[in-house]
Amino acid sequence: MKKYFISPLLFAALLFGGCSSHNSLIDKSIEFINEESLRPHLFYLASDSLKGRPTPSTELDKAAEYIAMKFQSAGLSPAGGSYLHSINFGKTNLGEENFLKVIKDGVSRSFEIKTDFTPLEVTASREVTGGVVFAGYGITAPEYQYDDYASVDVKGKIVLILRHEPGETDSLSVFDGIKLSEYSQVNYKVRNAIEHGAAGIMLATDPLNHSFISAQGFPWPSLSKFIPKDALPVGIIEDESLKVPVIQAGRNVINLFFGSVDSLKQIESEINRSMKPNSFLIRETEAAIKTSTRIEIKPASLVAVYHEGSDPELKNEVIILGAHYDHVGPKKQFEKDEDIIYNGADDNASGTSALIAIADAIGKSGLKTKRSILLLAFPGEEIGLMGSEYYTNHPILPLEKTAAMINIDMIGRNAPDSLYIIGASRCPELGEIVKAENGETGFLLDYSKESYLSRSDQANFLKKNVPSLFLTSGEHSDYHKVTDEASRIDFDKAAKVTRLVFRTIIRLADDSRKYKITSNKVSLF
Amino acid sequence: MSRLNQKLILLSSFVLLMTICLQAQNYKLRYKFEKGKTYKYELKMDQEITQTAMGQEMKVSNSGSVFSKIVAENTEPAGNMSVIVSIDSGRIKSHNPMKDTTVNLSQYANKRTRMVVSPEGKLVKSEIIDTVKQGLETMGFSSRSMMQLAKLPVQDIKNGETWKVNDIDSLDMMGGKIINTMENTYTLLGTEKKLQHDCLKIGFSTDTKTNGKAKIMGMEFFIEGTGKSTGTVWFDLKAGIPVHTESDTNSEMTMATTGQQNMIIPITQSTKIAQSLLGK
Repeated sequence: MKKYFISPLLFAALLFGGCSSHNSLIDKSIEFINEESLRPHLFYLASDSLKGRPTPSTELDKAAEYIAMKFQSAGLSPAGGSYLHSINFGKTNLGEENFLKVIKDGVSRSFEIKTDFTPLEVTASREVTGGVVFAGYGITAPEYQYDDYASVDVKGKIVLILRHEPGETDSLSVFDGIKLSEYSQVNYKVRNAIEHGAAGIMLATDPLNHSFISAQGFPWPSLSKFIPKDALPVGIIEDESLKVPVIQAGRNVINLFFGSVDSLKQIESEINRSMKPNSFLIRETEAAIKTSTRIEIKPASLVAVYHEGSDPELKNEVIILGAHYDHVGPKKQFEKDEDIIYNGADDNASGTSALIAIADAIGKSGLKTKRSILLLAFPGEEIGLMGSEYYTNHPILPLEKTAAMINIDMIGRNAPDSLYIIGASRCPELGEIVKAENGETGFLLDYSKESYLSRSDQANFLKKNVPSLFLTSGEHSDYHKVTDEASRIDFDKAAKVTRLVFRTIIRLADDSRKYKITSNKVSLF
Repeated sequence: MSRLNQKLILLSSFVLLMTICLQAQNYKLRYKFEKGKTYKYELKMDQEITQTAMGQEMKVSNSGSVFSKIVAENTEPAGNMSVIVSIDSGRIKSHNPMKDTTVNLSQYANKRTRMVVSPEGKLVKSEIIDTVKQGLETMGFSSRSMMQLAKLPVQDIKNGETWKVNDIDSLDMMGGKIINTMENTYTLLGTEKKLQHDCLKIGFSTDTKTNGKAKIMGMEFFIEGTGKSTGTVWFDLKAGIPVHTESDTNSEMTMATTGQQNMIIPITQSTKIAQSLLGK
């Protein structure tokens, strides 16, 4: 058997040559990114013909088709089998039949809607009957050794849970104290209760810190004399099978279950003092809840494209680059001959164009990276970061395999040589990578807007503990005005930002480190 | 029973009756803002607002103090008093999830509102003299809100007695109107010295219903809500002015918008206020 010997010099030459080749491919890919690679996309997306791209709308659909077409022509694969992923947006109205009945100690009692209970907007259109379990604040927080569900089985039962969180007014509380953490949010409590098998949910005002015991769930226009039906907001319409009836229960309901509000206050006080849950079955009690809704659905699309990594192991991890492509639509009230289109050129046709240019740069150059890359164009950012919220609840690729997320929103205005980086305090490794790659672009990096962490789509990824950064050139005098037009974009700056983002994405995709989030507290609001 | 015992019983009953009558003094409560005089007040406030928008609940805490003055301009023959109300200065610290801010109210200083009030404290007329560019009302502070007078009874009143006054207050704001309907219940709790004034102590409880409509930046804005205030007013009967007021208000409201953005935002609000007369 002949032995093969590779000279160290030859090995070094091969290695250096390999790196050199890869770097030169990156440089070659960068050539795809310039002012002219952004201009046509930005002008089209911000044109009057797309009427400000509100979510949902026919014009937004046209924008989605355009982006999908451009992704396809870049030669990249559809993610999850399709470039376009439908999200059901819509309006939820309260239906006619809603009731709450409780049998306690053999005595039946019916409660009155609005006075004693009100359905929440996340409620199912369904009736449920079951035993009632008091489950504290409805929080499962293993990092704080706190779980309201640890000692109770709520499968098939109706849970009664308090709003907010332990230590709400204690600045030293693990739950963020004065600020409300994610655990205090109703959406979290509802999800957690459903994950534990609850068949129905009653929320109650936590009386320890809130003396006004409210039965107000969602202020449905149909229950009001003054709030018009038109005011109902657009939201994501989740699969009905994933929902349960959810109501806010008022004073009379609390009195029935606990004897008095003071009695519940004492239970809550003890939980707060000891930081130990106190959940229990409410004996000799059965409740029946019916909530009904009427939903008007209008879908919009998440646009997604995928570049598979080349490393056998690391290709199962993904780097996400995101940008929202919606804006706020046309003015609803206007004078004659007035400009009525909010074009959203900077917000965020600029970021969307960057996404398309980077897709081109990756796809057409044949560049390979170790990790996979997913490019996402989100709808619904302007109505509450809904597109990214939907994605993080229904990811195309598992979030635990998402190594990092970079979000770009408004990249074409303000000082030509400066750029905000937001989130570096939470994800310092990502911040360092951007800083290193900025050696090529030379921006003055501004870290002073950490308070903007909740202002765009990266927020939803951070909530799910995905290391994320937000890059933006910041707000300006045309922000959310009809004057945010393509003619005002600094294309040279936008192209520079796009090149920096491209280098960052490639660097992240060629890395193997697991990036940390330094703060465990997901307190974005 | 001997006749002597009967006389003693009659005498002691008479004395007891006189004592009760003396203690059951009638008070005629009237405001008496003295023409040409200036009354300065300090208001301290702690407020917590919780609102839910786009699926996220947010808590905002406000605290601060506002210095205001009431200048008694004139007294009409019927007894109605014309006063000029304005803010001298103030500072509100606001703690919210986005960032903490401190609002200095000095830019609103000396923006005057003329109010005509009846001797019972009913608002007869209100007229803005100096407009405020940014709209102080948007902050929940207006010159008018510096002068929220307890409604005094028309009839004479004794300790322990209760009177009710229903009131409707309409505020023109942002191209629309906000209407507050209030059911006030007052109780005369006795006398007490407060801030070196001999005062009547009046407890109150007010149930409020609010509804209204306005226009902001091309959007229609709707408000609906209910609230309850409880508190105490220390009233200098001789001078006819409030000396100190403490109140605790809890309210539940809905704000809704149509137009550029459709939103329905439930809001709960809890406010503690203490307002004191400065100087004697």
